[in-house]
Amino acid sequence: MLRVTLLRCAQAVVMLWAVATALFFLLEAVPGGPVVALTGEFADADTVARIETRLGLDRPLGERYGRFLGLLASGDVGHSYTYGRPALNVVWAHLPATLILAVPAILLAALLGLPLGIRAVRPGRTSGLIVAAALVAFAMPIFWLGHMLRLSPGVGQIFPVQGMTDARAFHEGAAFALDVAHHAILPCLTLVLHQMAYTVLITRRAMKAQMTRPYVQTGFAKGASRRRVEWRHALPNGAPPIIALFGNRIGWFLSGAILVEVVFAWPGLGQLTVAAIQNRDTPLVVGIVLVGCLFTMLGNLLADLTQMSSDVRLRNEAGAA
Amino acid sequence: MIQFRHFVRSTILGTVASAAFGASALAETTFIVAVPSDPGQFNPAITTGAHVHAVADSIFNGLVALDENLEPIPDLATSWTVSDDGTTYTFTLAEAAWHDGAPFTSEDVKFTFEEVLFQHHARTKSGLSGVVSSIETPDPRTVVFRLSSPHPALLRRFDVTEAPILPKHLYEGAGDPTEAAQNASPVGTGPYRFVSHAPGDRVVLEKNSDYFKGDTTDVDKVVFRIIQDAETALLAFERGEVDYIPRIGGQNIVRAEDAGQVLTATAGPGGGNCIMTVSFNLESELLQPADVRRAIALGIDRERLNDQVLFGRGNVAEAPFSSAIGWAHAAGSLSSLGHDPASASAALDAAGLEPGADGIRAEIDMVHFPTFSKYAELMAQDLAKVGIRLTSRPLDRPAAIDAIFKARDFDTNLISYCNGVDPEIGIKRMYVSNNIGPIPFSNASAYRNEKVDALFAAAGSTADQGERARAYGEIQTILAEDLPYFWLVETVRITAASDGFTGYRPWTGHYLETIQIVE
Repeated sequence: MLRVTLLRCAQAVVMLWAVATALFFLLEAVPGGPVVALTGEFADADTVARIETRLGLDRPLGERYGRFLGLLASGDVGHSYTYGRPALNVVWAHLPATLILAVPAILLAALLGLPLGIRAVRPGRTSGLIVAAALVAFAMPIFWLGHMLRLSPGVGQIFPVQGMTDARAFHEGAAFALDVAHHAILPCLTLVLHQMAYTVLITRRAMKAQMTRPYVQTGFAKGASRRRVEWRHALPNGAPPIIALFGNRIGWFLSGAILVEVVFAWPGLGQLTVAAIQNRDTPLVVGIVLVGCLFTMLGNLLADLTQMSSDVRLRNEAGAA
Repeated sequence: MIQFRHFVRSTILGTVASAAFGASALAETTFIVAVPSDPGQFNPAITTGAHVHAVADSIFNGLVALDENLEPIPDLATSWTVSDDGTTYTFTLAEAAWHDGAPFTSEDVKFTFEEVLFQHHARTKSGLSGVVSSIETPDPRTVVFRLSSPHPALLRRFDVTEAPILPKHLYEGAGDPTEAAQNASPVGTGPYRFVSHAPGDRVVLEKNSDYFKGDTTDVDKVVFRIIQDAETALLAFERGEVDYIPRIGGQNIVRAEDAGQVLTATAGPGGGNCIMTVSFNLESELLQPADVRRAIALGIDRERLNDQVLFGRGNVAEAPFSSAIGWAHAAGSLSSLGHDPASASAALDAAGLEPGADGIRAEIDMVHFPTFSKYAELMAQDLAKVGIRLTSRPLDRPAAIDAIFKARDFDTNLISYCNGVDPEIGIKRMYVSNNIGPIPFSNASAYRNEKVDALFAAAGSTADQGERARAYGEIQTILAEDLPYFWLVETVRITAASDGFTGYRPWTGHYLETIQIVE
């Protein structure tokens, strides 16, 4: 396992370089620059030139890429144009807000999605209903799902429609935590519904493949309960795609969930990403994408390690490699 | 009914909240403004960006303020005199203090203009740095501006949006003012002082209890909440989570009125008196003949644009210059350009643009910001009726500016050109031949007319308003003939505001200076 972890870390460095390079040239190809967002309207040629010089945008492409790589090697991506301070600091400052939504959402989705997905394999009307509901929730655009939730009678009327705290009250301590929780419920619920639907569908498919296998028949034949056969025999064998799903989605939750954050004006990475792109704040965009990339890789590594510890075959293969 | 429900809900929630958190939290009056983007920094003297001015103007003052008719009234300058030849302005300054306690003096004014505004504030730099020949400070309460030639727009360019005054003692020696650490924790003289900034989330200001104009507001704290999505901001306003949205779309007027009040103004922080304007690319062969441009103009139903996009709150443009600058506006100069599809078709026939088998005479594109899509859609419908296929090309802001002003890759484009409070500020830039690309919001059509250049030069250097008005009148007659642009509708800034307060000044950067609780 240590070997795999070290190998992955080496791969991660190469991967980060590749993503950063691709991103650098992609952003280069996007029309428009950051100057208008900084100066506003009416900037004359002289003002534009001065800002371009200050930001180093007037240098040749090769030189800028070299400088970009140099910074990257020292673990930096430069200063955000909008905020005038290190872009990575800005990204880290926005991360906690995103985690407040993402972590509970991932956990709840797993906790609720897994049993429902397993339940949906059994024959009968309930299974049909679960699958239908999951399909609807999954197919719904997530920003629309969020908007519908806050317009709905009931939950939509009890909870605030935007923000992380009540801007009128300046709470501290426990009252602050309660206030954040109160505001987090609707966006979190949106994320949970979406990810839960995904989990139900993947789990059901993985379990269905297992339930027709001979060893499951054996389980039933020796008199094990349905629940025991499902959870103790079939689930461990069907787990890889489910674990992989969560590994993959960690990155989505962190850099992503963008639309949910925008809908609920949640002060996390999602809103920041949209603003950074609109303002052509290249260092900030690079910072956000690299952090998202890092978390995706971390998620995948965790998923792989989890799978290895739950699957002897994988462990042996890795050991033999 | 909605208001009643709102009342019941807020009463119940208010009661619960006061029971839960105690009365101390409610003793302070907090006013919440929804802004669509983070200002990033708070120095209004280095940018004309509306996202900065919407927040930072409340922290600072200009030498003058503007009243509802956009006429200058005292701000940091309590009075002023102008020499007979219009080249010397002497201002007497108020006894004001910076938020850190240091006294405000004439040295601050001189420093701000010379070292910051004339270097970095795009509008003031281009408009005034060549006009003001010297700034003198005979004593701490007096500042004298000497001009190289009369500049009648001077006073209107001295308000907090165009010329905010910065503290010299904090910026002098602090290096490049665009990078100064001060920009993150501003110190001003204004009605509110800076408290905190949580990037991407909020900016908090508090009432300046030592404000030199006295006790102008009942609000203790102002919170600017960053809410990118317009629908979310409106919903928050309806539910009472937000008290003020500086700008809402015309389609939301009814909802905003149900939940509070709707204010309209032609100006506001970051520019005003805007006209939604179509630019014709005069370098495009198809659009070079003025007859073709005139035919396109006749094909556009501007009344419908006002009704269906602005919900009747704007005006069909009657002249190339905004009607809000009354003395310079040549009303009726566009009267021959009412909607007339029959004449438009006839003119296109005469220009040799016969319809093909599919009924199409020509295809043109229109580059615009995504927020203007509704205008483009309606114009495409109108022009289809006269055989012109108009393709809408919505591009996000930086990309559209690039396509229009740098790459010049468009047949037509749609821009909201803000005229400002004087033709020198926001109008001249569209027409003079020395202002063609690559600068954003310059002469997009690439219009070149020596006579127009000369008239603008003459009008900008005489103090006599009658003489200026004559020159501007002549310019507008020529423009209506040449049609380098087509002026669609004069838009208004529509603001949603809580009806729990009064005294809003939505036409200026100081829109929160005088808000009071409605008893």
